[in-house]
Amino acid sequence: LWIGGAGLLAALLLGRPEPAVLAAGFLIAATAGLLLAGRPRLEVEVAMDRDHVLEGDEVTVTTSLHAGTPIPQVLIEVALPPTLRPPGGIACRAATLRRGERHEIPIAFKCERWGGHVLGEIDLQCRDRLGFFVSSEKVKVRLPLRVYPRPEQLVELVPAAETQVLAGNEVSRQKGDGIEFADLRPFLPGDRVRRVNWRVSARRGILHVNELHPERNTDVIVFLDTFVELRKAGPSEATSLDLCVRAAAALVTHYLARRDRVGLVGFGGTLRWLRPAMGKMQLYRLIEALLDTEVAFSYAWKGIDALPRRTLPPKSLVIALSPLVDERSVPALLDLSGRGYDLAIIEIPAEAFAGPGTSETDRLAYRLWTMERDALRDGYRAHGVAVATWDGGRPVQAVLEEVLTFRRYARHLHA
Amino acid sequence: MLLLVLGLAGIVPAAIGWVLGLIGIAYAVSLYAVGAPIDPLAPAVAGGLLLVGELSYWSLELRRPASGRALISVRRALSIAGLTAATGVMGSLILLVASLPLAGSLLTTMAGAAAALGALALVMVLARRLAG
Repeated sequence: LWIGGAGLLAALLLGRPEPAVLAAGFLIAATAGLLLAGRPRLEVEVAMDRDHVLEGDEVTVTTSLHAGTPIPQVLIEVALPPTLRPPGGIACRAATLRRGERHEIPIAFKCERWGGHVLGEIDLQCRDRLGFFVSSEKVKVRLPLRVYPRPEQLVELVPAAETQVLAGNEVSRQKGDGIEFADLRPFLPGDRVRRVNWRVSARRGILHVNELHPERNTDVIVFLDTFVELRKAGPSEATSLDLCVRAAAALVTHYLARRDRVGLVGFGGTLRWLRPAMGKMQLYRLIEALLDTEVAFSYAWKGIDALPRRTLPPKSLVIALSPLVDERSVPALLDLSGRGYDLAIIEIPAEAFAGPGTSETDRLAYRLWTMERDALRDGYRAHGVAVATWDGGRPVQAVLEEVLTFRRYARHLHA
Repeated sequence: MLLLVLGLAGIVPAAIGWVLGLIGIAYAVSLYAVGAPIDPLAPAVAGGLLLVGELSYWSLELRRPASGRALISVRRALSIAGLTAATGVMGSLILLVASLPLAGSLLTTMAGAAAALGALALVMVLARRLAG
């Protein structure tokens, strides 16, 4: 408009028609823009197709628009957390609406990381036909979304050294009522007749009975080190906490499936725990607790004494998931082993997140650091604790096989 | 040119308007200084100037990526083409009136000023109606 005004003024002052010709274009555009523009009236409803998904799944947010006036161009953008990405990288959609028209605009996005999110804002921008006038509005919504870690298939789990008293799927080392054959012994008063091994009794001349291993459950505690979170450069790389949570989700799902009692300890700046229990409800509780796992920075020194006693039941198998970096978690794990807990460590190696530097000094420091870390692992192994590393590049089952092999080997050495 | 680049880069979007104004001033001053006769290409210059402005602001809008814009873009392009054509037609009419052999007087000058004010007032009234 000011160009038009200035042009007309210049035409009068200079006494030439050309400035008026230049001004005419801008005045025509301004007039046309003002005639075509109007206040947009728009009703908006937002819905999401699912609120519980697995990592890697797609979710669609559908925005329903009802136009009270014609809107030549409306842009809709959903404010997404960084771990939710639209497949094409564009979370913004454009549409044209006629008066009274209802239009549904689906925006799909991929859930790249586990966690709990709330989609809270839709950005709407309406423009007139010439793009002169923009009307923006932020629509507040509340769409909660839980993204669960994608479960891994595990064939064989790490068995606990000792079983508990309830029935389960683990063959106990104790003798009692069960299916697995354990030993033979002479018949004693009170033994059931059906336990008599007639073939052995006939050969030896006196009655012998079979002894059996009962099937019992175990207590498993997943110990999550949440003191530190290691990450590579780049927003899409998985952090050490991501890997810990993925492995933990796989472990708790499979241990609960074989009727074990499973608990969780989040050992970090904030202490969190779930007492061991079994069943579907416990699975949901554990998964929800895992989704809320985050690293809380703290200088406070903590040992396992800070945990309630019933969180770590006697004879339980403790599977620790840790990058073994923080000076508080390293001795805490040794403390657990020293107190007689059956401990296995799945280490998320810090070496996967840090490389040697460019200078000679950096490379030397890196070598010294890796040697220190090897010494730390050897220290755990010397205490009979299995340490297997997992950087996310292979299945969790391969890591469990490493643990199983070490425990078998350690048992032979001990024997 | 630097101002236009700054405007198109999105650093100073308002610079686009200033660039258009400066180009218009440069064009008018060059004609006045030389004392040239009426430039028959003035409507084309006016259309070109409007086109530059429209395309510049449109390119700023497109910096925000969005899918489903194909039809909207076609309509927008047609609107801009229509505006440019209308500018050309209006400019030609102004030049035609200006080239009529009429004697200049205070009355005609006042009539021209009144027409200019009327045009601006019309735009202002429309703007106020939209704001209200």
